[in-house]
Amino acid sequence: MRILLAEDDFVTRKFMMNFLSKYGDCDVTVDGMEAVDAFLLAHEEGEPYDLVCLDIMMPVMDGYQALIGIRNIEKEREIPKDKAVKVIMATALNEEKNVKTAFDLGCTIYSGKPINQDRFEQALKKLGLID
Amino acid sequence: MSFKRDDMLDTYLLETSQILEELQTVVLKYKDEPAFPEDAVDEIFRHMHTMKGSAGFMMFEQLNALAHKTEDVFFYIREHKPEGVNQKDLVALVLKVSDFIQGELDRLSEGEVADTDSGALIEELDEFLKHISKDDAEDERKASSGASTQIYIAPKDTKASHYFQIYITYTRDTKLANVHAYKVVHALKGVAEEIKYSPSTILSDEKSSDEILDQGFKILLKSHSPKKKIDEIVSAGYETRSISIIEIDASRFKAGFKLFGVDAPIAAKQTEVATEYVPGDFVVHADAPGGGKVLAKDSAAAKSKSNHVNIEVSQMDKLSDLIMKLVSAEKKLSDDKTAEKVKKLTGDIQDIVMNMRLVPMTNIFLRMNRIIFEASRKMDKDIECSIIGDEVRADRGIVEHIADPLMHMVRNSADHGIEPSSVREAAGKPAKGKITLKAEIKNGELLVSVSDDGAGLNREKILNKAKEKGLTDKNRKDSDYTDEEVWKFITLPGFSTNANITEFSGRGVGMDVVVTSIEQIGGTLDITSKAGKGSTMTMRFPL
Repeated sequence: MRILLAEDDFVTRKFMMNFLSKYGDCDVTVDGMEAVDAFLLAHEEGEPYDLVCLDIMMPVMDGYQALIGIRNIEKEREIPKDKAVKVIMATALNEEKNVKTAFDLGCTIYSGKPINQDRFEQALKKLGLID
Repeated sequence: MSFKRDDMLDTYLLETSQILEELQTVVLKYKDEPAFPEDAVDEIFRHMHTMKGSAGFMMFEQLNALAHKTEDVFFYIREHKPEGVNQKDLVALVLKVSDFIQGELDRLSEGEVADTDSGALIEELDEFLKHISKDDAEDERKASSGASTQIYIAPKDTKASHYFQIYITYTRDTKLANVHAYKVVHALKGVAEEIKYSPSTILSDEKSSDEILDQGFKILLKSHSPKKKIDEIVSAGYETRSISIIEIDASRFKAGFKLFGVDAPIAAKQTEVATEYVPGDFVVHADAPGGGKVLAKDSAAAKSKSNHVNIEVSQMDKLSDLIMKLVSAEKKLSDDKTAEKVKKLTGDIQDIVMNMRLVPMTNIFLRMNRIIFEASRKMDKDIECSIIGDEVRADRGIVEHIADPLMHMVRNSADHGIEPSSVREAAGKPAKGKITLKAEIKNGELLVSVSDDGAGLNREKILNKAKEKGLTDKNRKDSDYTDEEVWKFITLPGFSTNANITEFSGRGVGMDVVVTSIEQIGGTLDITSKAGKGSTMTMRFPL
């Protein structure tokens, strides 16, 4: 599985990379804009990501904007809903409003930080991303 | 250790308990009918569907599976309208499901996990489903998988954050104070969720050293660790002259260094405006190191809610209007006329607030209805419940307080009051007994009563028992006692006349506990009873 991680904080990035690498090849970006670029690039190269993991608080573009960008690219490329990439928002922001906004924008999993790794894995299974 | 309950969990708990309430209402409404009408089946199906979805979203697998199976049952009923479904069994089953979910909600709100195995109950539902569908061809509902497409994962750690203001001064001759300062910052990073410091240029600008010697080094820290831990980390000697570590609140932390060292507590928390976040609100602007992350839009202040109250919007509006007026009047309080006005406004505000505390009797009556349903099933009596005045509103405190006494009285009526059908028929009464719950406000009092059309209290039996217990006055003849005086006996400690102790009532503790409980909040209990016609117990509370 191809995974894209966008995370601006070094320590968290290192942790998340370690964690996600268990499930597949993990590319890393440090802000939302880069993430959208990487997402588009992967599509153009014909090797789209299966999972995108976004922080919310990031420089240049926040996670919400990146998510919109990603969903718009999919719309433009006429990718059907069931083929759309699974997007995980992993963030310390944990107010109901934050969660609601994310789901309204088309996020698949919203995971509070610190990440509950068992649940995270369980959710990936449920989505059929891992066995 | 204080815990901050997860926002999403709070929402889930609130929404699900509201659904459970609606579910119970609709189920109990039709418990005595031969079957649920179509719209009720629809409603129950919808409730189950919603609960299935939200449980899936929260990854409560057991609840998700249970709601899914119950939904299946009602899907089948909706689509196939099977005949001969035992309504009482179905009602009991749904109530069981509702209880199970409620139990899990309770566990969740205690900070436990919702992982009680619902397998047995699911099996029971399966049995029921098989039973009602046995005549129909196998028609498995297309398994719309219980998986939700969106999932929320709560953060692993739900410990509340603490906020600290740390002020360190160094001795005059300290060399490279900026490096010492940075060591502290570095040591704190391990426990910091967020850390800001001033001067923020400690690494890039050597002159910051002088500033630190002059004005001290200031740190604002957000951390899950308690103060003790922070004390340990910071005190570990970095050539300091003085260290002060104070725990502050979130708003003070957010205010940054402007309020650093200000001792006065921050004014009352601002009421949060319910604006939605929009994409772009969380862009982090590059900032000098130590300045912390600055968001395009600063996120709202931390809040911790534990008790939700639904308040009518119109009342909230009225209240805030009044407060605005009060505030502006207060500024001109110098003359008597305004003083008078303030007094009136304050009175009005008090009224509104009192009003906000009022809740209808509906929920509590509904719970009693449920108890009657269960009692009648268990004791094989046929009892209907009639509710009058459930819309009457009373102070939340009173309503919560009377739940227990009311329950006891209802159980007494179902158990001792209402006779078995055969006895009733022999006495020329309808086979079906009736318990009436009634609330009304009369002459400045709240009256809540439980009446039954059962056997009524037995005057002779009570008198004999009272004599046995030495409660009577030997100089008085039996006939000297008025009925009221006789009924009073049953409210005395240790008085119980029924030889048969059942699960539902009567262990000799009972009416005295009820009366004590009522008196605790300034109420009284009236009893009237007529042999063969039934009894009425009325609680009175002054308003």
